[in-house]
Order: sequence, then C-alpha cells, then structure tokens
Amino acid sequence: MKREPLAASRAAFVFAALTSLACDSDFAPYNRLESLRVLAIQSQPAAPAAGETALLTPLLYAPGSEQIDLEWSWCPLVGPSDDGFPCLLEEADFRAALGQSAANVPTFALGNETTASFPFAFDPQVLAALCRGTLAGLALPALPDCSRGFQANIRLVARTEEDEVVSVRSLPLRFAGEHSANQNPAIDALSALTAEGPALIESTPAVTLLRDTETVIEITPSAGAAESYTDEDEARVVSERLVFTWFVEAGETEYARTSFIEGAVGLDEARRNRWEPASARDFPADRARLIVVVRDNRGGVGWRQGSVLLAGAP
Amino acid sequence: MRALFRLSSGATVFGLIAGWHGNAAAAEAGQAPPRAPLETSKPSSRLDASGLTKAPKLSVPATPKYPEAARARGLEAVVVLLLDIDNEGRVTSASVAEPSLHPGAGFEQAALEAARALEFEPAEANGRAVPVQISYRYVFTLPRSAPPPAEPPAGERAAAKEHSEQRAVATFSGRLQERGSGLALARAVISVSSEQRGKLVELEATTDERGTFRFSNLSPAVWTVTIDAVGYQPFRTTEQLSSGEAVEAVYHLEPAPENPFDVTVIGAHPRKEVSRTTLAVAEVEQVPGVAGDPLAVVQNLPGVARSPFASGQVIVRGAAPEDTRVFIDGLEAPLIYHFGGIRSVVPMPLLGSIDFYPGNFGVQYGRATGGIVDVSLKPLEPESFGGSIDVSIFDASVYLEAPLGEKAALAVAARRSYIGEVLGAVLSDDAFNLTVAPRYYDYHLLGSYRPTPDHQLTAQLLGSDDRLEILFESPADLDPALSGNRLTSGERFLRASLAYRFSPSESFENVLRFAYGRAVEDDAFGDLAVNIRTDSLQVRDGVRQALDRRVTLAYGVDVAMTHLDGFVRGPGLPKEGEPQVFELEASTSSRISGDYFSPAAYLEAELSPFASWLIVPGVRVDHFGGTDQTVAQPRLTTRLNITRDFVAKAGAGLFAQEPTLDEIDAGFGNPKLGAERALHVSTGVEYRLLPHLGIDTTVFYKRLWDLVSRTDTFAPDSGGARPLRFDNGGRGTIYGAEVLLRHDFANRFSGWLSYTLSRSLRQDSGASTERVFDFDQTHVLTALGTYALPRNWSVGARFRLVSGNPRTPVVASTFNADADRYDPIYGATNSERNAPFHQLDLRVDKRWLFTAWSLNAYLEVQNAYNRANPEGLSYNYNYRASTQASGLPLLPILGLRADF
Repeated sequence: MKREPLAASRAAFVFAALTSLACDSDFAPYNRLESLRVLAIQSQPAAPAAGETALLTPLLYAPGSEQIDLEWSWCPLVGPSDDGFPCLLEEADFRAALGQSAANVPTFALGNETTASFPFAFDPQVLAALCRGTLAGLALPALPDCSRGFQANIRLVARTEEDEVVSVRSLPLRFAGEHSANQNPAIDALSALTAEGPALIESTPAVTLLRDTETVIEITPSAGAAESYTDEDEARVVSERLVFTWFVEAGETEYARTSFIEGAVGLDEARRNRWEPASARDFPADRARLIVVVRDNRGGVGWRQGSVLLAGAP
Repeated sequence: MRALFRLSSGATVFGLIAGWHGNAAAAEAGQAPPRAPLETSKPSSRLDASGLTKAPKLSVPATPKYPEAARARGLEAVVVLLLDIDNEGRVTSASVAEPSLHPGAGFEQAALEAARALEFEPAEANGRAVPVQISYRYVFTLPRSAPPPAEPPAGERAAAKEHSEQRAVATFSGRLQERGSGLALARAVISVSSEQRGKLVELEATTDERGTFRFSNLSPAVWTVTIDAVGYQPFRTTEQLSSGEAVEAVYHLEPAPENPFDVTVIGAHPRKEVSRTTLAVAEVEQVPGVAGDPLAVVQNLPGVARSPFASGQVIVRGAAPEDTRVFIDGLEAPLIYHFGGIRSVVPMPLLGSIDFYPGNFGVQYGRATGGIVDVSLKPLEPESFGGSIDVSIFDASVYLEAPLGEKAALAVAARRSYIGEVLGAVLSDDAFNLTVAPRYYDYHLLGSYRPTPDHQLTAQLLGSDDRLEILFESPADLDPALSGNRLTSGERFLRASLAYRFSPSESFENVLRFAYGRAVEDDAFGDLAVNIRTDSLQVRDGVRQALDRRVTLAYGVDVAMTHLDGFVRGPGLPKEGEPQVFELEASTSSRISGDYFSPAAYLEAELSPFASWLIVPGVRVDHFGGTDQTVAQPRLTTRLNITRDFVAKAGAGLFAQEPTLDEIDAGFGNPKLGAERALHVSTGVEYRLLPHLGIDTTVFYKRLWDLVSRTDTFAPDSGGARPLRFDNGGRGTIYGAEVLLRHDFANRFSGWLSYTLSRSLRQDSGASTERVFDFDQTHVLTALGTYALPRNWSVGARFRLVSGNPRTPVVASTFNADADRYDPIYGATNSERNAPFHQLDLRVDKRWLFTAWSLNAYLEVQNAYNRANPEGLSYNYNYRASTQASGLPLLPILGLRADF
C-alpha cells in the first residue's frame, strides 16, 4: 500500500482551517452586496412529488435598479462543478430514450420569466430507470445520486448589461415512497437591538443604525423551520440543520453565516449577529438593505429582507 | 565482508576524514616522545555508523619531523594524506591528497614518513575489522608564544635531571577531562617546565586510559603546565608546588572548533546505487532553515523538489509525495511526521544518519516508484551515563542513555510539544477556541545487547500521539455544509521492533527484523469522520554472503501484513492534478476493513569482474495484497572506478507500488485497480576533487505507467453500471539531471550546492495531451553551508532558488445555490506557474562548555529578507479577483540544547 494519504490530508485540512481563520482577506466579504448576485433559488414545494409542480423563484440582487434578464433551464444529469455543471445529455437523445413518456417531461428550457415552473407530471418510473442507469437506449456517462430523490438540476442565468451570474441548484423529485417531503424554512421577522430597544427591520426603513458601530441584529425563524426527519445514514430522527446567510449592502457583519446544528449550536446563537454599517465615505447612501437567507440541509430555502437608515456615529 | 569495504586501484569505496595536529615544536626539538592523539572515551558524535560500527582509532601516533629549512624560514603548512589502513590497523599505503602551499619545503615528505609509522585500531563493520581509506591531516605549526627555550646541552639536561631527582620534594598528579562532557582524555601529553637555577627543566607525562597523569619528585617551584592536545584548545597554567606537597589537579580541555578526531564517514557501506546521499548527524543538526528537524534536511538534496511549509512532503524527481517511502532502521514507520508535517517523529539525539535514494534503489527496497529515505538510528554504544535536553519553539525533549554492563546499553527519549500554546497566541480569535491545542508527543526506547561480535540484538519501542480539538463559534462561516462545530483530530501509534544481526564471519551476515505496530486515526468534524485502526506486522530477513572476492549475494524476504478496520465518512481525497478542495456535500461513507498480505523476496548479486568494476544485477518479486498481483522487478546497477577519484555509474530497473487505500476502497475508489509501474534509468559520474570535496552528477529518466487516474467511466455491474472512479490509465515521463557539489566538514566548513533540472509530464486517463505534474519544478538550486568560528560559534546559511509550482487557473465560476457558494471552473490542469521561489535562511550557533556539560543555543531566521514567496493564488468569493498567496514571512526560531 502506498503511504497512507489520509493523515496528510487531515493535516492539510486542519492547517487550512486554522490559517483560514487566522488570515484576513483583502477581498470584500462574501455577504456584502456590491454587484449582481443570485442569492438563492427557492422551489415551492421544496421537494415535489409526482403530480406536483415546482414553482422556482430566485432571490436576486443588483445595485440600483438595473434590468435583470433571466434564462431558466434544467438538465437531468450534469457534470462536475469544476466544469461548470455541464448538461451531460442531449435533449433529443433524452426524449428519444423516454419514448412516449417524454410528452409530459418539461423541455430543458424553462423560460425567461421572473419565476419558472417545473411540472412533475411524468411517470416516476422514468426517474427510477434513470437512477439505475437502465433507461433503454440512453448511455449515461455517470450515474445520478438518487438517495434522496432524483436530483434534477435547475440552471438560472441572470444578466444585466454589464454582468452575468450563472447559478444552479438541485431539485429533488420524490419518485419513491422512501423519499421524504420537505418544507421550505422561513423567517418571520428581522430586528435590530438599538439603544431604544428591539426594532423590526421592514422593507420600509424605520430603524436607524449608526455607521461604524456594531449593532446586534436578530432574526425570528418561523415555528418549525427546522423539521425533523429520518437520517438514512444514522437511521434515526434528527432535526434539520439551518444555515443563515446575512447579506448586507454596507459594512460587515461579525459572521457571514450562522448555523443551527442540533446538539452543537443552538438556535438562540444562530439567530443573532452583529452588523457594523460602513462609513459614509465607503457607502454614501443613507439606507442599506439586510437580506437573510435560510437554508436547510435538504434543499429547502427561504429568506426575508428589510432596510435600515444609516446615520453617522455620534 | 572484505569485499564490502575493500579499496582497490584507488576505488574509494568509502572515505574517512580525519586529521592530526602535530606539535611542531616538540617534533622539532625532539624533547618529547611522539604525542599520541587523544582518545575520548566516547565515540565521536559525528560518527556515521550506518554500516561502519567503529571508526579506525589511532593507537600508535607518529610525529613528523619539522623540516629544518621550513622552520628556519618560519613556514607553516597543512598536508592532507590519503591513508589505506588494512584490517589490522596498519597503514598499507600513504599518498599526498593535498600538498602544502610551500612546495619543496619538505612538509610532504615529512608527513609521509611519519604516516607510514602510524598504527590504528582497525575500523569495524558489525564487529568485524575492515580495511578503510581515510584522509589524515598533519598541521605543521610553530609556537605562537616566545621562542622555545634553547635546548640545553646534553650535559646540562642530564644535570638538571639529576638535580630534579636529588631535590624532588613534591608530587603533582591530576586528571584530564573534556570540557562539556567530562569524559576522560587518554594518551594526552602534559608538559611541566620550570626555571631551575637559570636552566629550563622540562618533563612530560602521558595520561592513562582514565585520563590521569602523575609527576613525582618535582622541585618546589612554580611550574608551567602546558597541554597541547590534538583536537583541543591549547591549555596553559601554572602550579605552585611546595616542599612535601602533593598537588592534585583536574584540567578541562575545551574542544577545538574543528576536532580532527571527529570522524565523518562519507559512505559507510559500499556505493552500489547510482544515486545515494548519506547525511551524517553532524551535517544534519546544524543545517540552516530546518529548525533541527532531521527529515527536513532531505528536502535540500538534489532530486528533491521544494515542498510547502510544514507539509512534510518528500517530492522526489517530480513524483507524487506518496510515491516515496520513509524507513526507520530499515522498517517502514507508521507515521513520519506529527500533524502531517510539522515535525518528524525522529528526535535528533537518536539520529545516526539518513540515506536518501532518489531512484534506482536496490532490491532491498520496494513498494515505491519514487524514492527512498532510510533513517538510521545511531548505534547505541554509550560508555557512561549521558544525555541531552532540547528546547525549541515547537517542543521540548529529553534523551538519556546508559551502558548496562559491557555488552548492553539502554536509551530513552521523550518529546512533548507546546506548539499549541504558540498557535493559540498567534491565532487568538473569538471565532474559535483551541479546547485542546495542537499537541504531540513521542517516545522512544532503545535497547542493545551484543554478547559477542557475532551476535547483536536491538530492540526498539516507538510511540507517538497527536491530538487537536477546536470548537468553532460559527462553523457555517468555515463551510455551510459543516454539521458540527467541534473538530477533533487524533492519531497515535505504537510500534515495537526487534532486530537480530548474526555475522559469524566476514563473508556472512544475516539481519532479521520484526516489527509490530498499531496506529489509530480518529478524526471528526460534523459529518466528517475518520476512524481507522491499522495493525501491521513487518518481517524482514536479509542475508549478505560473500562467495568469493568477486561475488557477493544479497537475498532476503520482506513481508508486510496489514489489518485495517474502521469507518470513513467524507469527500474523496483530491488526487494528483486536482484542486486541493474538500466538497463536504460530496461525502461518501465507507466501512474500511481488510487484511492485506504483501510478501516480497529479493536476490541481488554484487559482481566484481575487475577490482574497479561493480555490477549489481538483482530482482525483487512483490505480491501486492491490495491488488492481488505479483510483480517481478528486475534491476541492474553498475559502477566503474575509472580512477581512484573518478567513478562512472549507471542503472536501470523496474519498480511497482500499490494504489493508496482510498483508491482501492469500494466506497471511495475501485477495488479492481492494479499496481502502478515505473522504469528508472539513470547514469552519471562522481569525482572527488579533494578529500573533502566531491561532485556527483546524475542524469535520469523515468517512465511511469498504470498510474491510478480518475475516470468518469462505468463498469457493468449487477443490475446496472458501477462507476469506476479510478482506473490505471495514467502514464508519465520524468527526466532531468542532478548535480551535488559537497564539501565535507574540513577547514571549519561543511555544506553543499545542489542543482536539479527536471521535467515531469503526466497524461491522465482519457486525456489526449500531457500536462506537468503538480510538483514539476524545472530548476531547484540549494546552497547551504556552516562555518565554525572561534570560541564555539558557528554560522550557517541556506539559499534556495526554485521554479514556481504549476497551478491550475480558475477561468469562471458558478453559483451553487444548494451550497451557498461559488464553485470555480478550472482551465487546463497545471497550465500556469507561480513566480519563482527564493529564500535565504540564516543560523547562528553558540556552544558554552562547562565542566561536565555543555549548552548549545541557536537562532535561526527563516526567510531572512522576508520574501513574499508565491504558493498559489487566493481568490475572492466568486473567483473574479485574486491575489498571490504567500508562504511564511520572516520567522525567527530559537532553540537550546544541553548535553551531559
């Protein structure tokens, strides 16, 4: 046996973890909104079953009021991330392999509207055959992972006149009974702990935050945001993990993301962050947006956004 | 065994550097008997005994007569001789290796005449006397103080002696010891002199084996005591002797910066390979830039690419790091580095030497297609209790050794780190807590028993434990896919080994080694988990048998048995050419379990059709338990001593190794994989310019095939298709040249200059074009040296200039809405290259000598001019902006070591 590589990789991982935390980057943080961004793509329902139609809604950000053009598509089987998730099947070949079942399968192009629909109106056995790699007449270059349903790949290209962002997400299609349903998590409220006390952050800015001053901000997740489900690996009922991403237009937050992890990090810790809006020199506008996206670990996603007024530090 | 070490036709099978300071005044005046070189009662600390168990020791010195004409002209000189010493310790031939700077002054003739009268205790290899060749230096010096007193006429000298005898009323005795160690100095000459009625009376005595001396019947007077001992600073003092008094004194002589009785074995066993570099401990311990880590020194040798800081990787001739194997005393170690690369598990006090083979290694070594690093622990032969305490920025260690009677010895070493505390201070952050700071410790127990020269038993216990625990405040900031906030990482192992050496005659030697070890790796971070227990048993039995003067056989078996049991859940490990990223959501779970039995047998013949020509054909047959394959690997090397100082060499051979564990695991890889293969071809020349200066050049070519390579293809399986993940479709070509100019410790200096020019190309499975390997470094230049200054100071420097590593550019990115991150899209693998690397490291050592112990302090400054060396690119969140990721900034490292 060649020299065991796990130890070296472990060391590299530990070292990378330590150094990544120790080093400050000169780049803008991930959660600062400065250019065209696709922040999330929600499917409602999160994991459609046969007969249901998924409504796909993007959460977009663009500075100012730039026009954003969208282009939706899907693909049953994509390549690796480092190739940009290329679609590995030609649509004509795929439909030919489906035969008569193809009639109810949506075309790969899903339109250019602000939202898109994906109707799961075709025979679930088609997906079962795809998962087994036994779809007649179709040579699959790779086998899909179907442990939590068939993962259709949704692709959204967002464009402005000067920018373009390509984003993908998987859409779990429940074609068998063992595939469990999932609800999108939601956030009921955003608030800031100002000197006057807690104040809600709404779409219409009513809360004033001081620039260059840290203010505690909080979210109120909806009841049941973290659902319980049966983990197949551990064969036990567990609570979903929630990850909150705190996007801001100005300044920085203490954490770009916080997470609720059952037994490790409590929801009370995960729902709280600190925001230090930038100075007027770095961010001249008098108001700034806060967008918090919540994801569970089964493909569910939700968000809430609001704006605050900015004032100079006393 | 004679064939192993014999010198013939000037073939320097191995050389030895020694020297001797003749006392010119004494030799010239003829007042004193020849002054024997001192013998300390411990083996030289610089002895490399990886094959030679005892260096030749001078038993009968011979003082050259100072050439009269040269003395009259005030000339001084150094003459270096090459001496052939037979297995009875006699000088069979002597020649001038380095003449003096005063041709015709007679120094060479005087040195040669004296050298022929020298006698030695013969060198030994495994208890057997062997012939050797050494260099031997005579230094002709004139007294620096007042001119030597005029020789009293013979009649007066006799009168003085008579006077002394008639009026002796005092006794002067004492003991001579080495300052810093307290070791007795035997065979040292002590002179006492005194003015007696206007005439100089001078007497001499020689210390015995215990370092004691005695003068009887001295006149009451002030006597000047003079000790000019070879290898030690001159010593002068006065003693007031009174009538009827018995004076006892203990003198401590300070070792000179360059002790000619320190012996460096350049090659302890015969050179058979095309490329092998042996590093003695004295060279290793003061190499700048490695902070006293023995294995890090290997990275400065030709054929070895520069590896990133603390990676612990030995990248040989462009190959992947895991293609090179590291052995400790001939047995593969379960763990070489703490935390993968911070410090090696072999502490300096235990180190004997390091042999490095960048390719074309012998059939005794296998299961590797890259290179071999064999770390030899030092021979355990203490004559008294001793040890050392070492404190550095990383860790502290203690080493103790003691003889157990005359035939056995015991040593124990232990080390514990406090790097966690250092890291804790540097990485102070509210974002995480080092609940268990990174800490490691290791311990070694060595025992040796040698009832007769024919039998030697060595036992070793080696243990190590690494542990780390971090509690993250917000793990999602590190990676949103993390399902836990506590990172725990631990790896520990314990290995017991037993070696029995049986050498009943010069022509036969058998070494049998057993090792049993258990290693446990236990890591967890959220869903990531690695828990593997590895039990391994190694058995090696090697025989060397000289059939006659021209034929020696080496044969043996090498059996490795491994039992694995555990569980892994995590993403697949990145492979050669792939980005070093871990996609947590791509995790796979796999139960790791298996028994692997990998026996091997080898046979090698050392043929000498002529005394100057060595041909070594051999074959090794490996059965790989992991791939259930049996692979024969024929190998051939040859060395031709064209002159005594000039050697031509060449070699070719096949090599094979198994895939890594994850590559043949059913969950992560492909259990149907086969072994990787390589053809090594190399040729070169060695030329010894001076006894202490040699140059070694090698041109090499490697062909690699059946390399494990990632693939997207599938194989038919029951009910569908099975992803292969890996196949043996990779291949590669590596070629280049290496040059090593090496200055052994002489004239206060040691160091080397190494340069490697290479190109390493690989074609992955299914790819239509070649690409360079991850560590393809076209130019690797390393210059390092250490210079001994007076008063026990030494300074050293290392400079490296290396081509930048290849890198794979990021050409675009995709927002992965599931993972809440941007995934990079890569361009052609390794199609770009970092800017060149260059760095200067400096080191200063100072040694303080006390009566029975010494203290050594060193300050090392790595990256002395604070060069921001590129190690790659660091990208922003969407990969549209990048900046250079730099290596370590200027880093001062302080260390202390006390020897007693």
